[in-house]
Amino acid sequence: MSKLLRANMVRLWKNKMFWLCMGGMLIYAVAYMLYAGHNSFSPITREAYTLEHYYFQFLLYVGFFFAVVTSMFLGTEYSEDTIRNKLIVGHTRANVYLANLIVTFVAALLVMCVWFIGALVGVPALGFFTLTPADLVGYFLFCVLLAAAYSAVNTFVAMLSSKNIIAVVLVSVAMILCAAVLYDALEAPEKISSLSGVTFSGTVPMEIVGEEVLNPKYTGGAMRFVFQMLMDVLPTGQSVSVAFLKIERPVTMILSSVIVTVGITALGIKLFCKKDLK
Amino acid sequence: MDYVLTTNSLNKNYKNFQALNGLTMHVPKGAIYGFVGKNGAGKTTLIRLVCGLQTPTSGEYTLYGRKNTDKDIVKSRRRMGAVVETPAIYSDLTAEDNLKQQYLILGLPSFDGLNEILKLVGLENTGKKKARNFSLGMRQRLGIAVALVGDPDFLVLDEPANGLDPQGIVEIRELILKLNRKRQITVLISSHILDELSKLATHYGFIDNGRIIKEISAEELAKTCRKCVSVEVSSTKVLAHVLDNMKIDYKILSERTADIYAKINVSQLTQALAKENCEVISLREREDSLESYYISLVGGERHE
Repeated sequence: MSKLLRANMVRLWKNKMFWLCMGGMLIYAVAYMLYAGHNSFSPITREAYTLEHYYFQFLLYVGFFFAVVTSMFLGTEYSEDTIRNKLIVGHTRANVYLANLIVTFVAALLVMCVWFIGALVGVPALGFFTLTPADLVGYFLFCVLLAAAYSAVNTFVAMLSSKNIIAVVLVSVAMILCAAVLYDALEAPEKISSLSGVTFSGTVPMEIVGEEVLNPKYTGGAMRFVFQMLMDVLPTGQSVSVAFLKIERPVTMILSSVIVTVGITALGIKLFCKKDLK
Repeated sequence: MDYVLTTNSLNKNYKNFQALNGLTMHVPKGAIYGFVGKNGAGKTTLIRLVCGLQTPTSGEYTLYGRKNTDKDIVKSRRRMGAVVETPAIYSDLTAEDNLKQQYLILGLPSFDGLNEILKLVGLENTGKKKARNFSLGMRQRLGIAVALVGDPDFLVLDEPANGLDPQGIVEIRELILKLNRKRQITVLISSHILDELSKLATHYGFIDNGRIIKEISAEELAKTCRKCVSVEVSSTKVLAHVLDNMKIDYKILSERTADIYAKINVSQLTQALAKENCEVISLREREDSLESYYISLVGGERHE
């Protein structure tokens, strides 16, 4: 497999789309953090957001970046039939799959690193992290696990679908939308005020609060449990939790990432070994 | 005889369609094996199985003595190269980078011999041109170059002349002959351009409806297809006696038909036969080409 890995890494390094994504991520990181630094003070809550409030927000959309890189890189293996060159000379299907998965994971980590470095432009305006070192390491660990889970899903789709370039991106978009819907459902408060808003006494903002009533959009009971589990299992769901610094079930999330990565990879290898290739 | 590839009752089914139906064939070492069949006969399916891209539904094949079910088959695969249907090349890489990719895939310690391979296929001057800007002939040659990385002993080419102009076809033919004669590479080449195959192949395998209907060497084929006079007479026993006296080469096909492999004097022959009370019913000259041989095969008439 080391031969396949080396060949894949050399090809990744020469892949223009990969470098475009890296450049795009860097521009996005710098622009986003400069904008964040400019708007980090909330007149309503009179609270200043710190670096970590914005630093992990890229996770909301990074799945899409990963999907583009994966589909462009692995997509050519089918569209140009170059996967044949590996199998004809005797490499096993499992090794071909794993080599592709590992390179996809490395590409995902590199894209993340570009964000982490570029986003540090926000330090002068936002200050450094206020999280404890242990918490910070924990968040970075979650990012690595998410990269692995995204890579596993994208590789699964790319290796098994004949229309893999479109399929990978569609699956990614579907997961992002799914997470957005789940998040909205879970974030809806149990009770809402019948009258709410903000008014100004002179220049001083004042919150108006009326009588509290039950929120019809609130998700409770068994459905809430199911939604929470899905949020913890879906890579995009975990991305939302990490991005908004709302990790409530860290052990569940870690286990989910590991199970998703290992489970999908095992299934993917099994199905790929049976696939008739042209 | 040493065989590089043998197949034994290979079957391959796709849902309701049977692509291979008990296919048994033998590719001798050092041969250029021409695999002949019409569209949909099963040529590409067989090649996909041999290259490990698909698994047989039943039956087996051996590659350099190793069965397809052996784990060691990977060692045999290491000795082969193939171009299956379209050439498998990275269009965003140059010719050199495509070959380098294959070197890395094979785990070769250096890129020694890369320039020689490019020169062999006539792509030594492509420089930084990306493969996406190559002509079809150039792409075909690059596909063959990729297949040649690692010095394979066995080359599988699936319709390599497809889409090529006449000059391209000649260049590919010359390349295949050079590889076979100078490097002793065994070649399995599938094609339905019979005229081209007849200039290349040392052995033929004719496939129809997923099975081999005839395997024959080029030598045997030439003997079968040589120019002759087909005669129908009332008694080939008498004909044989007369031809033996005339010292003429012949082959008896049945009680009433025979092929005579010589330029004969028709008047002399009919007079000689008439003396022995043998009637000549019909006489015609014929010379089988590979095309007519193939058509007669798939049409059902057998050449034994």
